[in-house]
Amino acid sequence: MTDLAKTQQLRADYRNQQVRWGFIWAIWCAVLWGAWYVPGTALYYEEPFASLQETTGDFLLAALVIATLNAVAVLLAMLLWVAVLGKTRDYVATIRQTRISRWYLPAGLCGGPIAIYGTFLAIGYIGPVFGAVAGLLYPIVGATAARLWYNENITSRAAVGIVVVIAGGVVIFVPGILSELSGTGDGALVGYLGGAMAIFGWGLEGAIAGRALDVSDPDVGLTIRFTAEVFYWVVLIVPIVALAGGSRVYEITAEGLSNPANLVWLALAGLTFGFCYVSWYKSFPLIGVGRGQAIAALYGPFAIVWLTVFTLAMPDLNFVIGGLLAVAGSFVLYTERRDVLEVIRAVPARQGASTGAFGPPQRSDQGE
Amino acid sequence: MHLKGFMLQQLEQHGQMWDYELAEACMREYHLSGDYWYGTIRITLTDLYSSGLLDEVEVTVDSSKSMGKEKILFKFALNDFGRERMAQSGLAGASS
Repeated sequence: MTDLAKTQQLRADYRNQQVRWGFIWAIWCAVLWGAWYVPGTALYYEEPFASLQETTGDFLLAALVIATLNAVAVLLAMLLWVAVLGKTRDYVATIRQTRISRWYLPAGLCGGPIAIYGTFLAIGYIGPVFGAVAGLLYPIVGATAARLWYNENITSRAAVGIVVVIAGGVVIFVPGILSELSGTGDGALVGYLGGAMAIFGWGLEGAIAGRALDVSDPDVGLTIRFTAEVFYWVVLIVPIVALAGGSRVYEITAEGLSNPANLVWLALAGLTFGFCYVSWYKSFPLIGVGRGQAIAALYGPFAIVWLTVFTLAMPDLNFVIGGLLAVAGSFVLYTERRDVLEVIRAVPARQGASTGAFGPPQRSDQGE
Repeated sequence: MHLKGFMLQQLEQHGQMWDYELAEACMREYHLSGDYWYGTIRITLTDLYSSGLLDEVEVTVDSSKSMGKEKILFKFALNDFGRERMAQSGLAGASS
């Protein structure tokens, strides 16, 4: 092999690995996100949360306390993770760059009080399997926002893959929504509203994070995003709720923390959710927000698998069919041409710039 | 300055840089050493390239520049989009 051929081969291998790692991170996200629904649901069966199912007010309060404690658990896991990686100094330095770190404020708002709280409502009002699949439609929001906002490459094939993943989500949604609309459901409209919050919250968070990650590290960025979420819950939302409705929210939090079982579930929730989120953020710069989110949407089928394993309750047939469709869509995405994925944005500057003899070939599908 | 910001500023300052030159500059600036940080800096460059902020201008293989291992080495340049993102993020022109 000539030196030139060897260099070209090594370059092709490196860029292939770059794309492969993007998909590996997104799949890790799906596995851990699915696993998170086990501790996320188990908390509802522990005191004091198990006793807070009678009225809507009680239930919303329980969901709020669980979401707050979950955010704190994830932040602790992330601070540990960043310390182990030797990036604590980078975390502080990035926070000081306020024109960068401020983007994690809306990311934390969309992903936390909107999407995660919505998911807890969906879990509590309808059930964990619905809660898990409710957010499956979020990649369409994320991909559309990333496309319109900063020209992320969404080829025809990627669009087909995302649509197939979403079709899987629709199959899962439709029977429940139809029975709800025909009046035979269990009156769980709040749960469906929670599902919609998850879709828009996570979709927009991905698009915002994709922008901030241009100029910041994923491990550090994610930790800042959870710092923002904890701020929203602990400093703003919980005190406002306490002012409006008395100190009960603090009593429930104290009771929750005094139950050792809750601490175990919270530790598991923090680890699974924290590392799923890290993987999610790491995939965005490598394969783009649209593809990263669509692959991560496999968390729906993974959640069904995990919940079936842990509860031994078989899921409904439409959940299984929807899950399989979502998997098929992800394969459409994974088998996309590699040169399309090498640079994930249709950046105008690139078209006039020399990329050298080894640069990616000019793409006819840019701007699709 | 955070690491990714410092890397962008180095590229802005020098025009074009090999990945190993950038790794050396970062490790000197932050008092880092070893394979782990060398790899971390290469991964960060990969993120910047795939996000469209950098152009790849040259590649080579030189094991003396990659800790004795036969690895592909990249020379990168900041492109207009990278400069635009630096300006939007308050990183442009702030290098020491």
